[in-house]
This record gives sequence, C-alpha cells and structure tokens, in this order.
Amino acid sequence: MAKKILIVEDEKPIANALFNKLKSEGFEPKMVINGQEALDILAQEKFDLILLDLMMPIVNGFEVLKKMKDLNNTAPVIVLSNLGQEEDVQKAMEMGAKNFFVKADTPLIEVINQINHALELV
Amino acid sequence: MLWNWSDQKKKNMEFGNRKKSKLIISPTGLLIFLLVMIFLIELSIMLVLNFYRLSRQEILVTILDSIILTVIFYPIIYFLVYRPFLMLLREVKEKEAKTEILATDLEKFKMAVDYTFDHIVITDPDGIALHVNHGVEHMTGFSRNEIIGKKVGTKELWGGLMGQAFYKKFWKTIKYDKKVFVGEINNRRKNGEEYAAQISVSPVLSKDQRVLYFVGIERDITEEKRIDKAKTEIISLASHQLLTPLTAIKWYVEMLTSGDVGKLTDNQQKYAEEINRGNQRMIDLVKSLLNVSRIELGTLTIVPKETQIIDIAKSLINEFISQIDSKKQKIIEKYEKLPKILIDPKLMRMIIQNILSNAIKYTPEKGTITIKIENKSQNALITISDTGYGIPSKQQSQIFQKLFRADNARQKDTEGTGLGLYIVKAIVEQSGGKIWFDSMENKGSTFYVTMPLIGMVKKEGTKFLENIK
Repeated sequence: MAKKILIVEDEKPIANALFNKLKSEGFEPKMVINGQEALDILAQEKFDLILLDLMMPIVNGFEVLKKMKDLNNTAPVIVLSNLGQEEDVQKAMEMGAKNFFVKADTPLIEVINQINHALELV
Repeated sequence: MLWNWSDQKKKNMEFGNRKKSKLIISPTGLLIFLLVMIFLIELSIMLVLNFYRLSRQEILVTILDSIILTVIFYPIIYFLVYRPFLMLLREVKEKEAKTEILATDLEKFKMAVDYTFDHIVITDPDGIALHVNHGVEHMTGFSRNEIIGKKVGTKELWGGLMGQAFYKKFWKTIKYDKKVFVGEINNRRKNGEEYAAQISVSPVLSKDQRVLYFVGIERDITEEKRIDKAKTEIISLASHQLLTPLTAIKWYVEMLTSGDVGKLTDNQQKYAEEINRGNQRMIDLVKSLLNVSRIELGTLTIVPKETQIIDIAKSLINEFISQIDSKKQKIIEKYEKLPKILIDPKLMRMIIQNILSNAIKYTPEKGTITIKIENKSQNALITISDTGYGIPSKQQSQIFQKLFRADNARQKDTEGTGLGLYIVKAIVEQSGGKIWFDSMENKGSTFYVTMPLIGMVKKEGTKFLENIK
C-alpha cells in the first residue's frame, strides 16, 4: 500500500512540486497550507510521514511540532525550511523533528531519499 | 539646532556694543593748553611782582615779554614734555588695542567651541574634563557642572559601554602613541538612552612632546546607523523571500531534467540545465547577501569548538580536487603540527573555502596552488598562494570592499559576486584573527590568515551564516 505523506507548506509552488514528485515516486501525498490545517487533519487521519515547513501563517511549524505530541502522532517529521539557522535546526530537532533540510540546498531527489530512509527505519 | 540660539544672539550684541575705554584729552589740545598755561603763569608772576609799580606801557611790555618767553619756552616744552608724552600715549594706545584684539579672539574661539553643534570636550592628560561645550550638554544630557572635574569615557558620565579592548587601544593611541584616535563608539545619555557617535580625540602637545590636553569631538550618528540598519534588514528580508521562488525553480527544473514529465530532447535538456545553473547562481548570491546582512547587523554568531584546521583544509581540497584536476593544476600541501583549537568550524571552513576557490578560479591551467598551515608565535598561520592572474596593484586596496571585483577577475570569470573576500575579512576580524595578502599581476597571489591559538572570540549573535557551495 502506498505510504501516506502529509505536506505542510504555505507556498503553493513548493507544495505542488513536492506533491507531484511524491506522486510520481508512488506515494500518496496530501497538502495543507498552514499549521492549523495540519493539526486538524492529524486529529482525524493517520500519516506515515510529515513534511513540515516552519514559517507559515496562523500556526507555524514549531507550534505544530509542539502540539503534535498531544495528538499522539508517531509519524516521523522531516522539516523542510529555508530557515537554515543553527538555532532553528536545533530547536526543531529538540521538538521532535527527525531531520531538517534547507529547501534551497536540497534537490528533490534527496528529499525522496530521506523520506525512504525515514520510512525504512520505522 | 536644539539649543537656544537667541541666547547666543544676545551675547553677540553685548559683545559688539561693548564700550571701549578712550582717552578724553587730545595731544594737540594738550599742547595748546600747556602753552596757554605757561603764558598765563609768566604773565601772572610778572604782574604780581610789579603790578603797583607798572605804568600802562610797562604792562604791555610785560605781556609782550611773556609772549616772547613763551615762544622761547615752546621748543623746550615741545621736546621735553609734549613729544615724550605723545609717544607714551601712542604706546599705551597700541597696547590697549592689542589687548583688545587678543581678548576678542579668545572670546571668539571660546564662543566658536561653545556653540559648535558637535560635542567638544577638553580634558587634562588623565581625561579629567576641563571644558565642555553646549554640544556636550545637548548630546549627553549632563550639565557642564556635572561634567567638569570628572573623568570622561566612564560610566559615571556617558561612556564605559565599550569593551576593555576598545578603551585600551583608545588610551594607548592618544596617551602613549600621542596620535589622533578616530572611531565609532556607543555611549549612553544621562536619561539612559544609548547613542552611536563618530569620535576623534586629539592630543595637544607641548614643545617637548608632553600631552597638555586632549580635545575630543563627538558627532551623533545614531540616525545614520538606524537608516543603515533598516537598509540591511530590508536586504535580509528580501533575500529570505527570494529563496522560496528560487527553490520552486530549482525543484521544477530538477523534475524536468530527471524526466518526471517525459523525456526531454537534447536541446531541452541543455536549456533546462542552463536554467538550473543560473538559478543556483542566484541562490548563492542571495545567501551571500544574507551573510552580508548578518555580518552588518552584528547578528553573526560565533560558536567555537575544538577543531583541527588541517582537517578542514584536507576535506576542502578533497572537495575541490575534481576542479583542480580538470584545470590540470598542481596542489602542494604543507602542514606543521598544530593543536586543535577553539574555533567555529563552519566559519573557518568558509574562510579557507573562499580563498582556495579563488586561487583555483583565478589560476590558469597547469598552475600551482600551495596551502601551508603553520604554528607561528601563538597563532595558526594559513597561507594559500597561487601562480595565477594576481590582483592589479592599483586595485589591491579595494579587494576587501563589498561588491568589488578586480578588472582581470571580472574578465576571467563573469559570475563572481564580489562578496566573498568581504565576508571572509569580516569573519576573520570578528573572530579575532587577521587577514592580508601579497599579489603581483600575472605572477600570483598569496593570502595569509592568522587565528590565535587561544581560539576565536565567542560571540552571542542571533544568526549564523549560510553555507554556500
């Protein structure tokens, strides 16, 4: 069965690129455009992995990471952000993110590899 | 101008109308007065002595005698009394005029200093304030009475905010080297508000080169700084915003070239790769701009860790080896034994990476690049030299300037940003090291970087630098 992946990203072109790539790689992706929507959908549905942006309107990625614990979310979270700052990385990792990538530095194929890697470990 | 100019105007008027003390008697008047007096005295004596015995005719003769006597006396009076008096008078007048000019000049100077908008302080050789102008009161909020007699540059007044190293250098320059100190400083007004100032402090020396006074001038540049900061923040914000669309381009081109939406023709593939190259260049430029803004905003963080510089150099050469090989260049490595030192490995990597990549880029095929790391007098000395195009001597002074690119570099490689060495220099200096170079056009360049073995200065900023590949 195809693995379900949640894309949490407010930038449409970025979200679309991820969505298309994941689909062509045989995953079952779903997009939401902010942290609140992510929390809402996570309360109802189970996902195998979450791709999370940090800078988003309404509820940002850090808050999603914080509140995800209350939702008993066990799916690994990979943070994809252009905030490549050490303290952002550290903060996200401390809050439970599995990995952290700077979008502008990371080819899509690398994102896929990391997803596969994270899923194998589960 | 914020202080009261009308006060100054009033003073000016007083100054102009001041009554000058003048002598009332004129010299010619005095001469006539003396002659008349002599005539009258002679006449009186003659008349008193002989009045009862004199006939009318004799009185007339007496008067005539007096006149003749006066005429005879005239030269004596003139030479013995009048001339010396006149000379004395002239002398007194000249002296008085001179004193007045002096007094006026001094007053003018004092007023010029007092009413200059910039802050001017005159101190004794120990920095104790002797005189302050209105600018000081206005800029710092302290009154003249509160300042005079106290040591300036301390927390008791508006100073003391800079690090110890700053004050050490400051006093060394003005007191021991007896040179002018010019720099930027942060101070605090009486109301607690901080301000930035451009200062210059000049020692006033006696003939035997002793410091008599210090004259310190400050100009408030808080507003300029604020504008500059706002500009840098806009660059930072814009750069960040730019990264999102650039990422989108990067990913869509990647999907195209990897055949996700069907196989491309050879030309399509080639064009898509060109787009990707241009896009990557833009990503690197945006990141460089972000780094510049972080450096300029002072938000750069330095996190020293135990690091072996030689390992960094080796791993970078490994990274560059395909580039070096493709240009058929030779690389020579010379490493002296060096202890691990406390430096920020990311920043150190950025420094070496930048200089090394310049050396490879600006050295023709079959050239030689040498990297040497030595342990030299409490410093790690990193030397990277090449047999490349060199930096034209006329442009060497500009090489560390932001966005500057030497003419020959511009010709050989159109894609550079002119930000690399600017960033490198800023990192080296903010972390306590030094950087310099020797270069000769068409012979090559050698860059030197030193880093103290005691390590980099830790800096609690808020931002790290972007790694540019």
